[in-house]
Amino acid sequence: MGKVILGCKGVSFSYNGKKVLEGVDVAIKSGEVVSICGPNGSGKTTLLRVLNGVLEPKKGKVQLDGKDLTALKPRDVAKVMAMVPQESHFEFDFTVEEVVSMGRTPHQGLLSFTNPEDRRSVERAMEITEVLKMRSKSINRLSGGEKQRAVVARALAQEPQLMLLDEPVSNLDIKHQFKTMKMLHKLNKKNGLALVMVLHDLQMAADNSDRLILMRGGRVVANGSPSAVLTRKNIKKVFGVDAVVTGGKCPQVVIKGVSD
Amino acid sequence: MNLDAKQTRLVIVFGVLLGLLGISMVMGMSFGSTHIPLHEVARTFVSGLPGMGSLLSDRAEANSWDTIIWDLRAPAMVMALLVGLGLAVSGSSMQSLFRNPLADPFIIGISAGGGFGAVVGLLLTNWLDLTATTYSFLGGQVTIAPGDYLMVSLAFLFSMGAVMAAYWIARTGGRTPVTLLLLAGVAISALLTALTQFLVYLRLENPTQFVVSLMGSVSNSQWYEVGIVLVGTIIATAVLLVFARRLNVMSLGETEARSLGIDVERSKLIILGAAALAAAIGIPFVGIIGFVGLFIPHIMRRFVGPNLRLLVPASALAGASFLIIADIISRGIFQVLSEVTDLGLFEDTQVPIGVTTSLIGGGFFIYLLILGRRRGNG
Repeated sequence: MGKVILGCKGVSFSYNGKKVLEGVDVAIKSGEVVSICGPNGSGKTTLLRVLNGVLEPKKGKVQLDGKDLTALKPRDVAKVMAMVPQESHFEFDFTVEEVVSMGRTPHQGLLSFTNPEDRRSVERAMEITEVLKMRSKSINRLSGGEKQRAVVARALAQEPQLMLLDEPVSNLDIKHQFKTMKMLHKLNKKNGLALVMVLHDLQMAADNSDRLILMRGGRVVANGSPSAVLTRKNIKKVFGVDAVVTGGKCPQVVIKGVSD
Repeated sequence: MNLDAKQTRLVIVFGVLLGLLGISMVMGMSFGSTHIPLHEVARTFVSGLPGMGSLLSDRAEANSWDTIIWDLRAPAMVMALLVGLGLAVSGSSMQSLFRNPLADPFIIGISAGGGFGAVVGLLLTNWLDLTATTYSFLGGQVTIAPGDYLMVSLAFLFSMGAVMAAYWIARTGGRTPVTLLLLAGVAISALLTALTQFLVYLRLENPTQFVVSLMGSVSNSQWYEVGIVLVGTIIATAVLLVFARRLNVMSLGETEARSLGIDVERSKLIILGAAALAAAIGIPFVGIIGFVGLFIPHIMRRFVGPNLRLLVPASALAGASFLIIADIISRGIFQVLSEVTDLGLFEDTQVPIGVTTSLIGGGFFIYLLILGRRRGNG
């Protein structure tokens, strides 16, 4: 794990006067896997969008590779950082291959044609995510899991150093949840791709992350290794549930009931 | 060349579209109150090409046919071609930009804005007494028409203004819900149409004639008018083709387009400008023509898919052919009626082309919607 690639300092954000993020500091190192957990409405998705530059914070700043995000061109940001939204809606019936090819956008000029490098990159992305055999199918005819993998393939075609994923497994059955996490794990280990994920499942976050960030009410409550963050006290404070945590360095979390 | 199934299909689709355009072009010159045989149309065309000289025809009518073709039918046919092309190209781009297959220059306010701009331009032209002058230039004739330039500019500016106003009204909290946008477009169209009618009745001596010409007609097109529309249509279509790939990505939504590296606001402005230009440039000359921008891209998407790099050219060809055919029908329907009924009443009457396109387009669109509903996808 190397230097900080993406970070934000003192970030605040509000929607229509309602504060969603308040004084958030986060730093992601290259090659790191970080999970953001917290109850609904704690500001996880907003934080991801602020980090991606889609939303501009009201206060504080976001830096990518040491440069202010607002000073960078969208295409230069997209060459380093890719985003996989929680849900993708396709109004028109693009084929899987067309959707994945859209990941090449930041590498293509206005007048340039698709070159062999684009093709290789798209091919490789479809292979890794196992959507190669459905390349000519309409994206709207895929199952939830397949569609999700196609969108991950699109993000991979950007050839980023960092991928932000908003609840990448929340719409999938258990088998596909497991498959997706395994694929992401492999991408991280083999290609050194840094991952920032919003996850609901604490156990999944603990098993798959180098670091955990717990959020509540737009603030970071805890930030550190899974074993340091996933304590009885933190879980109660953030989620309002009673949990039993065992297992030391590899924490096992079992929720026992709702506190208060 | 090795072509897979998809490529073969595309070659066939574009081949058919090109053939259709060619056939409708020739038919557009042949049919009318004076019927000119197809081979005479071809002869006139070939002899008009540089270096071909005049091919002699043994027919006595040849001279008057030449005049009819070059001075009346050809400019009207090319005008119909350009306007149909512009509307279809504009519609296909707007549908992707607004992520809604119901977006169309007519619905979103571009046409009403263009109509309003054209009327304001016409009033200013009359008031300032701007007249077109024809000069001899390098053996040919060049017409400078400041009044037309003014009308075209105002039509473009107001159509762009209308669509941006609709966009601004519909924008809430950084998002532009499509239903709101369409409603805003309808409201702005109604407002501008009312203003246009108000101006027409207030200031024009013969309002009925003008209202009829706003309903659409390519019949009285002049070559210099065709020239103006040609320049605008080429610029707009070129921009939309260049931005086609970007527009594909923008059809996923603004957030995703942004995270894929697109400067969304800037691209949107350029695309809106080009789409408005393509749809509005013809309005001062041929009036408001509805439905072409809605249903041509809709049908073409079924043949070539949603990728704008294919959909824009396919819509262009289909829209051009469609409007030429619609013009033939507009010119010929009463002639056919009078021959059938033997009354001779309507012989010289023409239906405004906008009425024909809306009849065909609207009817076909309803058919498509019902078909889609039966199949379980709207």
